[in-house]
Amino acid sequence: MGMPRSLRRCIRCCTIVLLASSPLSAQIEDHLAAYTGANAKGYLEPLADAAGISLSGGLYRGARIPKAGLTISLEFPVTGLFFTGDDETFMAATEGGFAPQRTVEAPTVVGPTQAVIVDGDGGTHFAFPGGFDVGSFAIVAPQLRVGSVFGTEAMVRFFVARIGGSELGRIMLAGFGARHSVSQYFPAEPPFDLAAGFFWQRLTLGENGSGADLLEAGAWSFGAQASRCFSMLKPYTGLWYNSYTLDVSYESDAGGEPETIEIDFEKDYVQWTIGLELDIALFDLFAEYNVAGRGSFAFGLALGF
Amino acid sequence: MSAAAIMLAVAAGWTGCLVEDRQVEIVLNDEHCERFAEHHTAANYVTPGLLEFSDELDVLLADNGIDKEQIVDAFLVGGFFEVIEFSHPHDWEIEGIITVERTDIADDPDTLVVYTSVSVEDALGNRTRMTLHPRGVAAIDRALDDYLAGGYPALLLTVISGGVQPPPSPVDPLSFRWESCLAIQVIYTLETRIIDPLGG
Repeated sequence: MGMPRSLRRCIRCCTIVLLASSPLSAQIEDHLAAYTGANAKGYLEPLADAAGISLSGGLYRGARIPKAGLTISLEFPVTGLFFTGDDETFMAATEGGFAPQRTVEAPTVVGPTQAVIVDGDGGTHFAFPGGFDVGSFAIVAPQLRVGSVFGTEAMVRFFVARIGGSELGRIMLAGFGARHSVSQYFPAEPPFDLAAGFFWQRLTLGENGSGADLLEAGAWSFGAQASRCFSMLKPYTGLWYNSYTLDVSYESDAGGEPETIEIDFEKDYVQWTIGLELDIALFDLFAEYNVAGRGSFAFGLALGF
Repeated sequence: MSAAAIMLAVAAGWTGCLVEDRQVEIVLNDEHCERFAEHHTAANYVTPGLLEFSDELDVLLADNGIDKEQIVDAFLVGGFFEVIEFSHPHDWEIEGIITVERTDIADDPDTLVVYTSVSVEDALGNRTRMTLHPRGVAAIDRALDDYLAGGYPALLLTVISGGVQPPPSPVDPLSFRWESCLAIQVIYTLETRIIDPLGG
């Protein structure tokens, strides 16, 4: 049986939203070409943070996992964050033979669009590129949840598409994980459901001048969550340990000769999630806020039984 | 209305509303280099080198798909020199100036670099920053402005030796090849549309 037309349209719309970040990625390499390592890291840091943190949103909507029986849920969480004023600039150092060496406040990738120009010896100048003036970051991460065997369910995230024509590369999100019901082992009926699980993900975005991925992110999440049903409403909470790495590889001629610059980001953090699900027959609506060093959110729709 | 239709409407409206235009200032780096071959039997010599300035800027813009109209500004960032070939039983210490002048218009040479006590041996394979003189910097920036205004400036760099130690002679000639590079930045405006997924 083919996929229902309405579902295909739904996925296509989600694709549009997922690609929200792709025009940004497609042009980032142009901006980065002016920078070598240290400046590029500062320039990209808000985007790296956003991509890494957003991957850990929307991984669950509750802790109830039946001991046995078929459960299937196709979910479309939108997960992301808002940038703050602190994300708009970073301290950048002059490069490329400019003298004297100066460190100034310059736009990050999400900062103001105007370049910043500083004066140097003998009437020379040095310019730092502008940003894209972006206020938020979000991705849609289509995911399928299937259960359950011995109180265990599995979940996969997958999405792949070419972006803006073949020369810009593709976006691919893949991930898998599992959760296990802990409350099934409680001797008496507990006042809430409790589960624990893990999730692994990999996101690649764009294509650099040498044909490799412009951006590659990997994320691990481990944690436990609890929830309780009140008729159609299900509040949930969870404590997760998240870890992500993000590698950016691009071509730069800022040092005089063309070279491949590779920069890495890495972060580990604990995240507390509070969320609410509204259960309406075959579909659920959910929203959550994630408290960590940087707050993020997720909301979306789930179809299933 | 089905759940899928709700999702469709929300997503379509959402993305439609949040597409925004941006004029983003992007910076391009470029280097213009000229190689000089020095072979002299006297301490005072003059070596000219024509910089293919406008041709190289044309290539830079073409490679990046940019029109001159998109360019906001262009200027000199700095300069380097490096000895690329030197093989001699002893070192030489050189001093002098490098001037720059336009050859496409009537122009007087302006001092771009004053160098003193430069060891040829130490500069072999060693990319070294040059201290630039304001008059030469201004001349190059004027040439960039003229290029952006539609001109086709050509620049002549001239090395004027001010002294060599030990003095070269027919039996002990000064001989090396070196390269001088000027680093330039071009700022251009890219008109683009971004999707700010949730505004903010």
